[in-house]
Amino acid sequence: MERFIIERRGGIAGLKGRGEIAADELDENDRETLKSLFKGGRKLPRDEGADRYTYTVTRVSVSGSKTVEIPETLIPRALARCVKDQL
Amino acid sequence: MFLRCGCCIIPKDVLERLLQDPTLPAKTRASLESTVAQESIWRRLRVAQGAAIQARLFTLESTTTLAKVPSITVNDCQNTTSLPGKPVANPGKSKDQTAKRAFDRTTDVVEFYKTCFGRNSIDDLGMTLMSSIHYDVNYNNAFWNGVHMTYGDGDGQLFLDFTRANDVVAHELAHGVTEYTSGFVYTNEAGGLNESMSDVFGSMFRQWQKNQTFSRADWLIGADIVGPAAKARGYKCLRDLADPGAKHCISPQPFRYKDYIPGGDPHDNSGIPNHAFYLAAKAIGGRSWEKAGKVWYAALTSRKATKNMKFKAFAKLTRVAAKTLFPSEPAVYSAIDKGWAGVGVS
Repeated sequence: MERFIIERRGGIAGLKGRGEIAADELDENDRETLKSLFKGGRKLPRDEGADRYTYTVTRVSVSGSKTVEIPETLIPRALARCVKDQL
Repeated sequence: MFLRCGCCIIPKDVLERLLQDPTLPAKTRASLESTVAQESIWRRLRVAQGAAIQARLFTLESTTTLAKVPSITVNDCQNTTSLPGKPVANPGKSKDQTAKRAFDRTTDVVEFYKTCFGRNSIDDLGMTLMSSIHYDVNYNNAFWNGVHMTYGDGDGQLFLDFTRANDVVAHELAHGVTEYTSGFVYTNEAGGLNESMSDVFGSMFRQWQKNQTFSRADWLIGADIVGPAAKARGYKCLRDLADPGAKHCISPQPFRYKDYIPGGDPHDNSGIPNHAFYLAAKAIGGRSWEKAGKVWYAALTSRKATKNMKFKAFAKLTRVAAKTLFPSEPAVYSAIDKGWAGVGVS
């Protein structure tokens, strides 16, 4: 079963966060968005400004794992929502 | 291929899919399309102006001031992530305390820069200052997106409404000032300097509002947004310029150059220049914004400040500024020197 492990850093507090979600918990739109974000070897441009979150998302499946850095403005909300602050 | 839109950088295929998604209401799709079209132009203009100032293509003397006093606007995201949100009419008199706070605190930060440093808004040309409030749901963050300030409501447990902290508002606005002056990038040592400028000017603003001398100031960042669950665990601020590694900090930081984290988060490495400023202000005494603050501001706005600057080069600019601004007070230079030496930046 495919799943996503999400690590968040940044934000004005500099507080790290972590979460995990199974692919089948996502709707079709989010799955498609993630598919396009994981496609290719390009590095996504970071958000402009300061104090934005950055997400490191690892897709784990039977065929292996792949990690990409995703800026806050591109992360599907379902993934951002499953991240818990690590105080 | 990526298409840059107003509030984000969205892959073109994702954007096209959203705009053509039949499950989204037509009104939503039309609104998205309209916002993207308008903000794209607006952002490009502002980014171009900032880049031109950073590249010294024109000087402030040769540029027409937009306004003697900047307009201050507040927009309500209504707990969505759509920026900039719906305009709030008369935010200074709003019954929504968040809107009123965002307006009042931004107004005060404008006064702080004007009074203490002779600066007219973020760009020194009277640029309109826009704040977006109620961003997302229980959003535990505030940010500067290159165009305006944005504040979350907090989850009420770890963090409270981010407009509650005057230093947080000043912190975000200071990111704008940095963008329009030195243009410090957001990585490596320059990233640490970028974050540090926001903490230093945020803390100074907090002290200025209370007319506090060095010894009476708490030197904390974000003390007023720490929620009950975080307080119950002993946390009392995001960061502490006086004691950056303290356990009471939600985000403890290194504060000696030997502990600099290569490739680290700018919020970690900012502890080093943060503490240098604290030590310099301590050695000078009195009110931080009167001497140490003026020196830091002169260095930040110096034509010699560059976007990839390292701590050592910025320290040198502060030493030069100390001599230039306070030629008859060698103690100021000594204090600045002592501040940097105290964190291991010689």
